[in-house]
Amino acid sequence: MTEAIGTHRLTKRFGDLAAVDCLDLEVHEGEVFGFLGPNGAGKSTTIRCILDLSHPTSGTVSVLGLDSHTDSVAIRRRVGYCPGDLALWPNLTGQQVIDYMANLRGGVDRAAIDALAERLHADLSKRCSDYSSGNRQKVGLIQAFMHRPDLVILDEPSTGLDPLIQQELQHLITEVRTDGRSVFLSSHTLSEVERVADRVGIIRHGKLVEVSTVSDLKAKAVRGLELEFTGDVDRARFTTIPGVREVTGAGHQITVTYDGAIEPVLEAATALGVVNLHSQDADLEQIFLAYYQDDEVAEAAS
Amino acid sequence: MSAAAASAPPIGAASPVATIAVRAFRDRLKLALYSGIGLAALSMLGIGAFSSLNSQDLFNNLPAAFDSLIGGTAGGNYVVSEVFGLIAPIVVLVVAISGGVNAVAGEERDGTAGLLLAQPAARRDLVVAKAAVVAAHLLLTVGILLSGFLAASVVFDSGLGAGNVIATTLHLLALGLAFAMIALALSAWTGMAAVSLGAAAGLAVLANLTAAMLPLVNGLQDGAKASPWYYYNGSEPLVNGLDLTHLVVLLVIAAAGFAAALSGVERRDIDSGSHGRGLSIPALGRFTRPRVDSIFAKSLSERVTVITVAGSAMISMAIAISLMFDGLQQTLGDLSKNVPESVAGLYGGGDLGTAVGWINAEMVSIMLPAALIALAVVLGVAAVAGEQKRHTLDLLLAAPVTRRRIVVEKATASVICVVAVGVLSAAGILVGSEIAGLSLDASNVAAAVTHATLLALFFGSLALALGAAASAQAALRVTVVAALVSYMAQAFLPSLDALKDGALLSPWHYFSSSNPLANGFDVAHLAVLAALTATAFTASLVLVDRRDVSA
Repeated sequence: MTEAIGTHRLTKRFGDLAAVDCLDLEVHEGEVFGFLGPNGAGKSTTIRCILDLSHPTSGTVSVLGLDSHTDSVAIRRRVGYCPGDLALWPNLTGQQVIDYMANLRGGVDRAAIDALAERLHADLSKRCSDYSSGNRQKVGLIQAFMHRPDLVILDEPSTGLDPLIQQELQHLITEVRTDGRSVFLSSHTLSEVERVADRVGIIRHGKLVEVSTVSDLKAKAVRGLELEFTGDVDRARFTTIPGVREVTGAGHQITVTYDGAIEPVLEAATALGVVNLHSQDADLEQIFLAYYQDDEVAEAAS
Repeated sequence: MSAAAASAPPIGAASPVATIAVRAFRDRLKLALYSGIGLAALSMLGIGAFSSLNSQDLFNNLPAAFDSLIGGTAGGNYVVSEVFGLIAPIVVLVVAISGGVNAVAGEERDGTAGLLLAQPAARRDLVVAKAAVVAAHLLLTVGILLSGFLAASVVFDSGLGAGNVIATTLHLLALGLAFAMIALALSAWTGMAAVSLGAAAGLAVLANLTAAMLPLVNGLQDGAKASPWYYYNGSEPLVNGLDLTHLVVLLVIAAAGFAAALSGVERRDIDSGSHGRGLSIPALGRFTRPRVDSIFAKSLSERVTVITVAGSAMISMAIAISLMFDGLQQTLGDLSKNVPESVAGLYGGGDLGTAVGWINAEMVSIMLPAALIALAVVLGVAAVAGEQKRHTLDLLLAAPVTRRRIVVEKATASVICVVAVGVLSAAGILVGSEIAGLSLDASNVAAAVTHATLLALFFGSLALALGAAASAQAALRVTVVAALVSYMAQAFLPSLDALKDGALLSPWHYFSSSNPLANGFDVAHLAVLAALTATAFTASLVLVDRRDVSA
């Protein structure tokens, strides 16, 4: 089976800085792969190497079984790409941008464009200079999906979209997977990725620090539980539970941060007479903090 | 360290006007600085070159008609009058108009106006600050120019009257202020940078033409007084010193523009950041509508406006210049007999008393190639580096097209655009020749325009190649400097015996040295230009493939 994307010791240096450092990445065909990392981690540089916009300092990239550099035109025929920080030609209307891209590709189904525009509620009649960032983004998404590419590469695709449209985008992504096609979804927010991705890779300082399924990752994530009790409780009752990292608050309101399973925390809270609870999402920030902390612990130990 | 941070005063002690002004002063300082330095260097070089010719007698003998053409030479030095006649006003007006336009509409184009005006700064603060900055930049530019002149006159003992040079500089400053405030007013009222720029630049050209041409037409002499330009050099400050009345007229225009800007900016809805509304001509709507069938079609359709505007400008200029010849023929003929070859080289050479010499000097030798080169270079830079600058290269390169095909299609559209303006220029010269009865040889006109077009295509390809490898800004700067330096090499080196072969290295040599308007096509020279162009174009194909398209 060929991989949708495979990088082998991919390295991209800018002077002394290795923006991407010996990256080995595999995106399987038919999966949605979430590519996560903080700002400046090397996500966009990796995408630029995949698309042959940037040339790797060393290492190789294959896309759909083809070499990213020598076969780049053949690859791009089968790939759809929506750049992050999308810029469009200000003098063209949204429709003209789509037509331009469609003409450069050839063989794009007009009905597919119209269907996408309708699903994303895109107004394509205005000039791009007059678009808000969300409307600009819709144009970028339509041209990325319109030719039913074998691989869709999306860089922060939810930028500027309202929640309803974000949901529609998630449907579009899962439909691609249902067809057996692949999606490479780059983001710095887990919420954008967790609902649709099969697997996620986390990149930091140009290195892949984790690849796992979303459920495994969540199990590792630090989450918070805000608890409200009928009366004052002793915080110490929670600190001894395995997986609990921190307990804050006092009196009848306490916040517990933990990783791993939720059951032990819930059991303790129930025993103490919890009347209200609010779960804080495991956000990426905390996952990264967890990784950073692990690193620091490891460094201190060695 | 932490103690110092704790006791640091809060940010923002200065007034909003001062804060905006400091920022704006720094933003556009380079343009003002380099403009002044460029003018000063050009003046010093020229004065140095001419002082070695020791041709003082020549300048004292120039007939009066020559004065009105080149801005007044009597009693002064040829170089000073050349610089003040056209080059310095053009450069100063670039600083003035671009500063005025960017003041308000520029912030809107960049989408920064909203952020700026979200701060507790009144709109008029913005206008006051920006107006002060344009004035300061103009002062800087003309100050450096003046210093260059004065330094050169001391070093080379050129016998310049310092007082009159200072007076002319003040007139120039006032002219700059007037147009800066006109541009500021347009910018404040419309909020559209491109429209303001086009309108202000158009007004400046119109002002120059009316001031230069109307005095030559019987019965319309007084019409020149309607032009601001008249109050810059109508009193010949280089000969007669300061004319306070004329200075006041220019300052009143500036004040009126400033007042209009203040009221305009208060009335309008501030744009939240539309990125560059283009200048469009309604009648051309059908043809200027962007076509998106291919990269070539899109590129060409976006150039219809510029072809139309540049072509019309060249046609009208050619006709106007042709018409001037009749009234000046006699005096020009006398004049030419007295001009030594080395001086004639500066305006393109040839006998001004003949139609060919006149059209060559006024239109073909500098104006035509300069216009075509400017167009070709802008298109060359825009092709790759321009898309990158607008961040649209990403999307374009995501399409299944090779980089080389993108370059080839865009270059083809650009060549058509430059050739079209060349053809329209040739048509203008021939129509002018017919109307004014100059009897120019059509094939020689075609030859001159062909030489100029190929020269322009070379510089366009150079800009394309540099833009394929580097940023738009770097490509533009290097190409412009290359064009200016090679022009000066071609103009000045032949008069220096030891270095005259150096002119062979300049592409301009292969445009003008064979004098195609008089002698027709020079196939060898055209071949050299074509080879240079092909080399630069090939380089662009190699470089674009190597380019790392950064975000």
